[in-house]
Amino acid sequence: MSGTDSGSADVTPRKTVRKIKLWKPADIIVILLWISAGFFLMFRAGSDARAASPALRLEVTKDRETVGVYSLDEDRIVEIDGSNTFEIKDGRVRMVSADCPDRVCVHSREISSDGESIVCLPNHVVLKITGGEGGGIDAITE
Amino acid sequence: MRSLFLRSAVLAGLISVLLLCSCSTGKENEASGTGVYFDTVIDIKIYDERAEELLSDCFKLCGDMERILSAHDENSELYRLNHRKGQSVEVSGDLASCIKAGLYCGEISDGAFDITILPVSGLWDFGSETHRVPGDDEIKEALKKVGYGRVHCEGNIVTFDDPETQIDLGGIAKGYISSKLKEYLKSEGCTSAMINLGGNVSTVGSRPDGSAWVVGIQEPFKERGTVYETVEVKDRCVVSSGTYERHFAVDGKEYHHILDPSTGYPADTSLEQATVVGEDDVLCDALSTICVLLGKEKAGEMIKEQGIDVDVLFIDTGHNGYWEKAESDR
Repeated sequence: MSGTDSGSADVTPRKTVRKIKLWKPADIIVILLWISAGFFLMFRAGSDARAASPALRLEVTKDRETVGVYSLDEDRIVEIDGSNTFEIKDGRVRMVSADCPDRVCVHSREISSDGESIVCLPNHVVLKITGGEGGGIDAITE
Repeated sequence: MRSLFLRSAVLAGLISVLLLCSCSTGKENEASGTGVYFDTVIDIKIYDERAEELLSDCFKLCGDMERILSAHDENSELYRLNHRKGQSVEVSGDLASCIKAGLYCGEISDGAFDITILPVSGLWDFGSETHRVPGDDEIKEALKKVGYGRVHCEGNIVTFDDPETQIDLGGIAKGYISSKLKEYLKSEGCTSAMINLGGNVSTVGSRPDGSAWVVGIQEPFKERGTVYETVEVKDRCVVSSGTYERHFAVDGKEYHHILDPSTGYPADTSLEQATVVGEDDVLCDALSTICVLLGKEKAGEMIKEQGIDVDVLFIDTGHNGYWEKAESDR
């Protein structure tokens, strides 16, 4: 393209004139707007995924129903239906208490990264961290 | 002129839409869920255009399997088989396949794995909170009812030589269900899914980006979720069994839930854990228990003799790990 332009010097002025006519400033503005809108959205989606730790959240389910979603950034203590209580502190989650007989969940390791979970089997309560990029461990045997 | 203006706008619009799509794929075609069946947490994650639909079908399948294979649910098909009237009973295809797989595992392990252990395991009842060591005479009495050789399965007909024989598929049911889930997902064209049945981890294909799934192996006697080592798998399953899973102490003596069918007592094993990595979910599930029962040497020999294509990580009571890799992986 640029080769043809510079190759014939005598027609260049005419071409330039036509170009200005073809690509009105309004066209260019519209194109730029579209592209920047695309980039803006792409960037926003990208930064959400990249900044993995701030986007991590805790999903709490009971009997497969989601009962709550919490950011790991805010420290708090939450009681689930009176059966279990968990704590979010410094981005880490642990089950503080449970009314089940075995209390396996209370003795489970605290969780902090994407995909990790704590389960209270008798009460059908699952605490699971989601929202990261999923680059770590996908599952752990028992 | 106007058409060019439009064209440029449409073109730019298309480009930005394409850019957006490439960013958001993966999330839109992903579905995951957690359910409780068989007193087991089942965690399934599916990457597919029809992920939601496949996921709900998978959980439906889990429910169906529970109604067939649970030995403790009074409404299950297996429960009815154990409380049968006649000597021969016609069962569903799934129950027959699972029993056949269990009998096969009994044969290859020379009886170390026995699906008829129920009368003895019922005495120990590791599932309950009452930690009781059964009396020696009780165990001896119950042992008389144990012996997988007294169960025969031809087609869908199960025949018992002994009216008191009962079947417990606990050592194999999870593997059977995950293999069913895997089979279903593959038949629907799914190429990326992760199935976790109470710690039996099974995979369909690879991660959505094509890389291998990373599975952590639970470190024995450490907090749940503590990883001893990780393995990378595609299309294969990872199953751990060990004396750490369910155990209790009475009068200073430890009792774990892996029972030796020849004695009726917890197996006297040099291992804390065995983890089996392979393609056959059913076999891997049974093998993980068999390996703990037989110990590293005997289990390794048996696997080689049978020509089974699995990798095994043995962790001994001194907490040392040893990998026994299949020929194909060396």
